[in-house]
Amino acid sequence: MDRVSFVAKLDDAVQFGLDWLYTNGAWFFDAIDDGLGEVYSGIEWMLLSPPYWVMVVLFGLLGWKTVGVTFALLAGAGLLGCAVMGLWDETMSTLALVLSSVVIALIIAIPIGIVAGLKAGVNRYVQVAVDVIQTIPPYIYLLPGVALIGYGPATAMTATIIVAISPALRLTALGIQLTPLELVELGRANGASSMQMLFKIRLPLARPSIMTGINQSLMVSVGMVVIAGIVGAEGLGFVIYEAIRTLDIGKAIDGGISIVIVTMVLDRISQGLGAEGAMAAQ
Amino acid sequence: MTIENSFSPGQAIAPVFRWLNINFHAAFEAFSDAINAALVLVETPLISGPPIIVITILSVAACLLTSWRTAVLVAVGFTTCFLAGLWKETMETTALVAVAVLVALAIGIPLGILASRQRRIELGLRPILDVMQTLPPWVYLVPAVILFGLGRVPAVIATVIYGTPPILRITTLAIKGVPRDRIELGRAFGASDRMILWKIELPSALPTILVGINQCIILSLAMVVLAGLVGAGGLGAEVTRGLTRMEMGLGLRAGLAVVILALILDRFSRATLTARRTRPLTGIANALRGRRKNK
Amino acid sequence: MQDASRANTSSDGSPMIACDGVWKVFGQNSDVALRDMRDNGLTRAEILEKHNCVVAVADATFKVARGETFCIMGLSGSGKSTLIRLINRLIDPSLGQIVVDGTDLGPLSEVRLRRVRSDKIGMVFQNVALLPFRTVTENVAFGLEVRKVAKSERLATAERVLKTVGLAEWGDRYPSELSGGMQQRVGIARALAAEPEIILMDEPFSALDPLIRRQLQDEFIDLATRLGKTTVFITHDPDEAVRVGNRIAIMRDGRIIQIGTPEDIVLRPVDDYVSNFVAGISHLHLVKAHSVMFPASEFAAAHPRIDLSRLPSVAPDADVRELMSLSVDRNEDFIAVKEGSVVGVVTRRSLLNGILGREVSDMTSNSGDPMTGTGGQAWIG
Repeated sequence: MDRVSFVAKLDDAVQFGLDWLYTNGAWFFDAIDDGLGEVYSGIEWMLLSPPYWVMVVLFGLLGWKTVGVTFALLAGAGLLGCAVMGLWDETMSTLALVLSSVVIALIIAIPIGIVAGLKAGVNRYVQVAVDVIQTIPPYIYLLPGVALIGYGPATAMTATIIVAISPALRLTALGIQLTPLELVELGRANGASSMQMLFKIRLPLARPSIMTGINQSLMVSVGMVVIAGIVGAEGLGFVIYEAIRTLDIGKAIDGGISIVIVTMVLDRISQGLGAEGAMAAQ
Repeated sequence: MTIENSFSPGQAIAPVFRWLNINFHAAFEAFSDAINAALVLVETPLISGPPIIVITILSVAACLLTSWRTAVLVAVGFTTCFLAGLWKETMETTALVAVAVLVALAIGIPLGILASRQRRIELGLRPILDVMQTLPPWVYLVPAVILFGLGRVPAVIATVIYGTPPILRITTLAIKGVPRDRIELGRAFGASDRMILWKIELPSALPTILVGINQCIILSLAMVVLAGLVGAGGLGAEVTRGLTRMEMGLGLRAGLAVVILALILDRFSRATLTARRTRPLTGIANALRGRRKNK
Repeated sequence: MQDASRANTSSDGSPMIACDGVWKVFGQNSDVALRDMRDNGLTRAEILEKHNCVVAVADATFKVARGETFCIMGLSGSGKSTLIRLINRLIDPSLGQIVVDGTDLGPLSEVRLRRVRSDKIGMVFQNVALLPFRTVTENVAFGLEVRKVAKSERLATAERVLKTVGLAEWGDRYPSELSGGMQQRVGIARALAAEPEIILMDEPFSALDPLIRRQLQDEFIDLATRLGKTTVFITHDPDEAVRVGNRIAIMRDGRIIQIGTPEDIVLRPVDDYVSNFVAGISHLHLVKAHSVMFPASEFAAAHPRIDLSRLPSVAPDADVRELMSLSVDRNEDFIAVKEGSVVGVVTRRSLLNGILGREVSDMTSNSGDPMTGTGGQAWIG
């Protein structure tokens, strides 16, 4: 058979396979859809229910505590700017998407990262997997979600979670791996159990690395926003996607500015939390 | 009176673009043409040649420059793309990545070298680079599309802007990381600054710069694929089609092709890094010179 | 072992390297600091405190003769590394003149300076600084490459020089495949390849194992003598300086406090610092017969019955070790020192004093009439 019909047959097979999965695995995918959807909605509700100026103040306080006064003021002003541009709801939706994705990603990535840090065999596979995940353009990760779950925040979240897992995984494994030998010896000499070693020595020392991983996960998730918008997740991504499609420069710029603000705020606050932790650990 | 929704910077800035569009149209056109010409230059041999020949040539090149393992990956990967009915699109995307990366390198590496020598330039560039690297990639697509319309040109421009900061930074880092005593060695032997750059600094910095190039390629691919949204063609457009029209077969095939291309580009650029001494090309060159081959 | 006399008899007399009043001060107000130190005699620490400037080299003046190996010795921070880099102007002096083979380096343009470096001066570094991405041969050819010698010619020359240092079969290897000692030999080959007249060596063997160090010292001495190179050699190891150098300069806190032959330094240290510095050095090879002999006339006067011509004899530059062997093996109390005719006699006692580092002049200046009486005769015995 020639190539065209071969390809057509391939497509049919794929469709057939997907239909089969739909009918038989519906409960599974629906569960994922609902589950992720719930997490997202929950966080979104928390962020959207107070009036915007309350949130601005809260973020300002958080910024003050983790970074400093100047930053707190700038962050507050920036977020206020989002409201001024009429994009407050979208900003909070985006934030909800990012936070919920990162939280789930961390729940998966950190335990695996710890195991990988402790066992070289596991680490090898993990490193290869992370490598592959980070090589593939993130846009592609929308495909399985769309195929199996359809449009909506859940699909956006699956893609974002995949992307967010990589840095957190890698840096957690690295942090655990790099525990100084003398301190490991110290623990063993004192007869500490593996659990005690983990919680009293390795994790505290791995903390800076893990915090960097969290920071990078957040950053990379924010980068996924427009991709999220393509599959219909509400938020700044959708705004920008629409603006690109309709060539609405104004809206696109507004959306872009808002994203930048969210990025900077998340970046500095997560770095600030990391630094605080490092000092506390000493 | 609420301050919500009271001001839109976008609306204020938008007229600037319109003004630019009207007044500099000719310049933008010329620029577009240049980029298009470059793209056509790269993709014509790739697309018009019979796929079998092109794949063979690329595999052989991979074998000579890296190792047979990479060559096998190249051969198998591209053949799969061909069988999936996406040969043309794969080559289009490859051409986009190639042109964008080459331009990014042509800008990034010299600037990186300059920044490593002049502290003021480095300090001046740093905040700009910081911002550029924090902004998500598609941010550059927006103004590019506004000024150059839909199509491949904004894709290339946005990719170049996105891909230049990492390579610039890494080049600066790499050059600054060259051990001081090697540079002193060059000066003690009376080498000019130019000689020191080409014979000592760049070769010493090359491994790190190659890592930067690898990164640049991966980022560029991600950007180019995303730009399928704005008419950049290639595999990105196919993925978008699959997504938006729920043609899952197409989506899967295109997605697979993207993954394959990503792996090929990644492996290839990384293998060039590690294989520098043992690759077949070096062995052949040495044999021709009549020298003993390295172990 | 280097022969101090050799260096002075070669050449037309003009020095290969001449440094005159050379200073190097690092810091913002270096010229102010320099003048303050020079005119008001402040110490290095005081200058640092007052001007926040580091005085690396203060008023260095010395000459190096053609074909001589000149050692600069000092502890870390004494300024020796800075001084050697002033000689090829890798560091610009704050004050003073540096003349290399008749050319004043000060007014030279960057281009001319580079010519001097590539043609006249070779350099060997402490941590070798081989380029890891080039083969050994390509590394050795580097100096020639800078001089724009054609590729085939420079590789051929490089391979020839590699043979001289005994690494002929290693040409196609990469530096990482060689041991530390071998790498430094490549470094020396590289410095020699462009056939410069002057070689600057910055603690070339410090990073190597003691056994390899001795081996390389010997090889280097051999090479430098055969090729007639003028060498400036930096070290912090007194043993090395004494083995390798025709003359030694000792630096402390940026100043040169003594210049002399190894024997000078050991027997006539200018102050306690120097004598402490060289305290551990074995005198066996350093102290020569001429330093521990009684003049022939004095001896003859004190021992008129001894026939000087029947005594076993040595040359004036015979070292203490040789004297000891003679003394023990032939059970001789007295040994004549001959240069044509007998010029002096070494006694057991003077020999022992020599081992202790005392010269004859120390011995005869003490109390006791050497010529008469109980203390006397026994004195010259």
